[in-house]
Formats: sequence, structure tokens, C-alpha cells
Amino acid sequence: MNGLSEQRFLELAMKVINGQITEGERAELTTALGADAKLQTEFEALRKEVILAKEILPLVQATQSSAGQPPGFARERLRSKVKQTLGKAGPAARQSRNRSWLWFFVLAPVAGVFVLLLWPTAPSRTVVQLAMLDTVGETRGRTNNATAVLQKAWPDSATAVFSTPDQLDEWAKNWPSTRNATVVKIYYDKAAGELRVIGRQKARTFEKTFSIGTDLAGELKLVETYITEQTAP
Amino acid sequence: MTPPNLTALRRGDASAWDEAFLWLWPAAFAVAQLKLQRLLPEDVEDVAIEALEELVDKVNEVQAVEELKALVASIAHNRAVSRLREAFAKKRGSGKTESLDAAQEEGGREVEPADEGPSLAGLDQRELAALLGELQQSLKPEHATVLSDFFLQGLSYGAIAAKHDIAIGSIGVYLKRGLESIRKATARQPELLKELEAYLR
Repeated sequence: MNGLSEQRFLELAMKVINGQITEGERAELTTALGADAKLQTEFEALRKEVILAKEILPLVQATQSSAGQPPGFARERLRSKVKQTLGKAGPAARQSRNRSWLWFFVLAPVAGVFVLLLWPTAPSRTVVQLAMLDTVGETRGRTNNATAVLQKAWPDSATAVFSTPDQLDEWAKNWPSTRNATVVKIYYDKAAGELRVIGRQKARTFEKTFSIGTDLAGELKLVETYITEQTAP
Repeated sequence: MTPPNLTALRRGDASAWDEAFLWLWPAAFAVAQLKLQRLLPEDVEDVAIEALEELVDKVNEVQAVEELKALVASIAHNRAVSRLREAFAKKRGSGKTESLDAAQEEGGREVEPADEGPSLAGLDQRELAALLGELQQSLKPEHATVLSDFFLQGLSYGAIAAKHDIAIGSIGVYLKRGLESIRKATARQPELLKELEAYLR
């Protein structure tokens, strides 16, 4: 290699391609390349490989990323896509504690709220049920605050409070007749920051999950709007 | 996190898909972010979600569940590139340049895509997924790390050697072997090689 060892050539080639070379090193490489056509060819090949590597490496690294989770609204959307494309979901939801996570795509203590409400604008009566699941032993003050906000939005509601997911699941399975009324269950998962709405209107089902930040009262307005849209004639 | 069961996914099993979306989201999001963060950061999440939705349609096309990650990355990449193209086309065609010009003014950056090398967008989804899948198998993590440190982060041989406790004389070997893995994988992608030749002219 005209006096240059393979290791030295590689080092100089990499440095010049990456713009890290000193003037002395550049002169050394230039002399070597000028005297050896094969070396020049090898240098060009390396240059092309580096160009490709710079393009591909970030994508390879991104593909191997493992941090982060989909947001709550995305989980609902993706779940709907699976149902539409591949048919109904499997029975796993009913087997174990994970059943409630299928509603929210997370394993975390949940707080859900169902509200009982009469909705006079609907062509038929609308009954909204509200419940809260408190498995983490929230202070009585915090639970009461969330309940109070919900009570204000649906003043005729009764709030059921559960301490285990199984209790909540049992409550969720229990639907009154929808022959003469639309029934809406609103489930507030405070720990996950999500509020889920599931409604049944005769044979039709509608559902949506809302991400709840610090402004529960503000988000409940969106929930009310959604329910109005779904239950309108 | 272990990948979910492919048969269960094909069956539409909800809990399997719950696991799959948790497993795949980081890749979809990171790829979308890679392409869009600079100019369309508000679209990153949307593109990641759309990539996962499209993956549901393609679950029957893979032979092994491990292929899903490379596939979702490929889908996210190409969707992100489409978003950028739409945004630039709108800028040129309709005169509605406020959002992209604002980004330019804010950062002093050019809003046209920079000349960043041969484009992977010329590969279709399957080709790009195959390339990523092959590199996941063939490109050793230590080689990828040294390549990244040197060519993307601009660290010197000495800095890399110190960072990873490698002999400084071995850095060149790591780089060479990493580049070889990339060369072998890309040799099977004639479209990409054509792009490279065109870029070099």
C-alpha cells in the first residue's frame, strides 16, 4: 500500500471523508492515493459506503428505539382499526385483570367514572351511568373532588365507586335495556388520565376515549358534546 | 419487551394487538420524528399512528413477527416523506407558505429539503423493510455505535475509544466492519445504488 499500512490508510480515509483530517495527514493520504490506483479505487468505494451509512444509520437506530407509548386516543383508534380489519377482538379481555387494560391499553391502577343522566334533547331518553375505580387509595379529598366535578356536569347522576377492576368489569357488563333509552357509560381513569365513553342506542354502539389532563371540567365539555352528537336524532 | 404472537395478531386478538402496539410504537414514532421533527413536528404523532394502522392491513404479509418492526419503520418513513412532499408542493403551488416560512424565520433554516444524500424514499415499503430487517440482523450493535459516534456525532477516534473503552487501534476495524455490513445489505437494493450514483454525479 505504498508505505501506508492498511490500518493507517483506513484511518486517514475515514478522517478525510469525515472532515477530521489535519493538513499533514491529508498530504500523506494524497501522496499515497496518487501513487496507487487501486488505493484510489478503494478510497472511492469507502466514500460511497460512508454516504450510504450516514443515510441509513439514523433510520436503523430509530427502528431499534424502545422508549415511549402510544397516547390514549391513539390506542382507541388502533383498536378500532384491528376490529374493522381483522374482525372482533379475542376473548382475552374477559379472562383476567388485563380486561380493564384492553379498554385503555395500559397496566396501571384505574379510576373510572360512570354517570347517570337524563338527556332531554335526545329523541328517546338517554341514561348516563358514572363510576370511579380507585385501586390506589387516593385520598378521600381527591376522590371527592373528581366526583364533585362529574356531579356538576351530570347533576342527576349517581357515582359508583369501586376498589377492584373486577368490580368495575362486573358493573360495566351490566347494561340496562336500550329498547326505550340510550345508555351511556362514562368511565374516568384518573391514574391513566383517560375518560372513556361507551354508549348503546338500540343496536348501535359508539365509544371514544378522551385524554384528561389537569382540566377535568374542561374536558367534560368535550365529552358532553360527543354524547350530544352521538345521541342526536 | 417480547414480541406478541403472530398467529394471535392475524386472528385479530385484542390483547395481542395491545402488546404489538406497545412494542411497535417506539419505532414508528422515532422514525416519523427523524424525518419530520425539523419541519413538520406537529405531524410526527399522526404519521406514527397512520403507520401502525397500515401495518394492521399488512399483518398477513410477514413470515415472522420480528419483521413487523422493520415494516412499520418502513411505512412510517415513507409516509413521513409523503407528508414532506405534500407540504413542499403546497408551498410551491398555492402560495400558502405561512407555516413553513414561519419555521424558516424562526430557525433561519431553509424550508426546502436539504441535500442530505441518496434518498431512501426511492425504495418501496417492502424493499426498505427488507433492508432494515437485514441490517438489524447483520449490523452488530457495537459497529453501529462506533459508526454513529464517528460519522453522525463527529467524535474523534480518541473520544470514541475512551467512551466505549475500546483500543484506539480497533476503531478503524469497527468502522470498516460496520460499513461492510451496510454495503452487503445495500448491494441487494439496486434502486438505492442508482440513487447513490446519481447523488455523486
